[in-house]
Amino acid sequence: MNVLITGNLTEFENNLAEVFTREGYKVFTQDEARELGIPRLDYLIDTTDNRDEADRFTLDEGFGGEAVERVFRGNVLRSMALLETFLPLLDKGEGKRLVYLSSAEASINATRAVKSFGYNMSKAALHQFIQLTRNKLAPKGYTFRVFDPMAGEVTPQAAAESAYNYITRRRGTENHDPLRDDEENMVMRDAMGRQYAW
Amino acid sequence: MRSVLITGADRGLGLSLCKEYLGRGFTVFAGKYMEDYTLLEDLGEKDQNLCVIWLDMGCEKSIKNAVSAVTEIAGRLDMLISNAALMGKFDCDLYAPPMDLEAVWDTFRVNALGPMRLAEGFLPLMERGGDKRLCFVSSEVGCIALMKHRGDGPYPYPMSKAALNMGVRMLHNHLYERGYTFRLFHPGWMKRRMADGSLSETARFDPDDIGRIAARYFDKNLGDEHRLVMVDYSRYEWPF
Repeated sequence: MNVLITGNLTEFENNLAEVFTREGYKVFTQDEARELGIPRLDYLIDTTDNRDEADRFTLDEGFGGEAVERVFRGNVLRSMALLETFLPLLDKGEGKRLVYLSSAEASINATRAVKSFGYNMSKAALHQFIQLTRNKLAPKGYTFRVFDPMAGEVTPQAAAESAYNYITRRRGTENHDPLRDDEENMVMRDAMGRQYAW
Repeated sequence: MRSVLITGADRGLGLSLCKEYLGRGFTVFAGKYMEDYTLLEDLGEKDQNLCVIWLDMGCEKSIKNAVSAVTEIAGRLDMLISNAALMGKFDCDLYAPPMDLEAVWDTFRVNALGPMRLAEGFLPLMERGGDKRLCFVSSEVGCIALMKHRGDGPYPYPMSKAALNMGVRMLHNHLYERGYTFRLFHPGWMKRRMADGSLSETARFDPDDIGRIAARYFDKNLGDEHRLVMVDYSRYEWPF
């Protein structure tokens, strides 16, 4: 099984690559996937998760529109472009699983945030992109994972192990109950397995 | 006299809301964006409490100019209604590369970032106002949970409305304890008002009917202001 992990800069990303390699997957970076001309991809793990110190303002401190734009372009447009680029390879693969990083903080229902407008709004937009993409690709056999690595709360190693289990295990119910089946209903889960409403 | 600012007031729901609040005795600051529509000016000739100001929700400078104009004229604001929206492009398809990603940004810039800048800009005037009510026109297509099986595109508009809902949630988190109250409204599929004042025939609702319902909902004090909910014309609550 070929796995593309889109970033290789953070401890979490490197740990995740190690776990997938340990378990027998072939792991590629973006550059490797392009340069080696791999014939197919099974999993796309989009680890795009941009935060920006300048985005951490409250409304009273002045709205940082430039930071919001940077974060939005980084978190949303980049992810859209990545999927567009690698979709032909994913169509040829058997795994057909798309994975995105997010945060419970970006749950419209759950967040108590008053800062990081760019991050939270961009992730809400990304969640809607993933939902719409699921509508398009699920009939072709694609399944989806949205994962919160709980940065700062869980070690990158533990988050990577948790992510591996979440990404690779089927999330279905035995009797394929469409209301309870993660494969039928797009959900966000964190590194402790907890589900968050959108 | 109470005052309200309404964006996207050239036609449709925005224009209908202007009529409603003029009828209720408000001073209405109407955000104008479409040069080829003169329905606002026609309304202004009949009612001197209407003040038309140029307002491009995609432009930070335009929002600042609007704040300056309202500051100079009234010095305070009671209610803010963010209604303007950009539908965005429809030809954003994963299987028809390259996707027009700038269309995604443009729609977000107007529909989600603009209302946040608007709230920030007018906050000092609303501190001096009595009502402290922030109203946002959103859409059912911003509901992530309900988009399952509801089409596979276009991307820009639903993404921008989901982002708007998040932004309003954050404003609510920040401002509710300071006495601000919020309305998040899904107007439904409305007929389009043409430049000559006539209505298109291809949608379900007349904007004047929705405007009447929305104006009442925006203006009325509720018993559960601590909750942020998105409702439609029938007060049905839509999940996020």
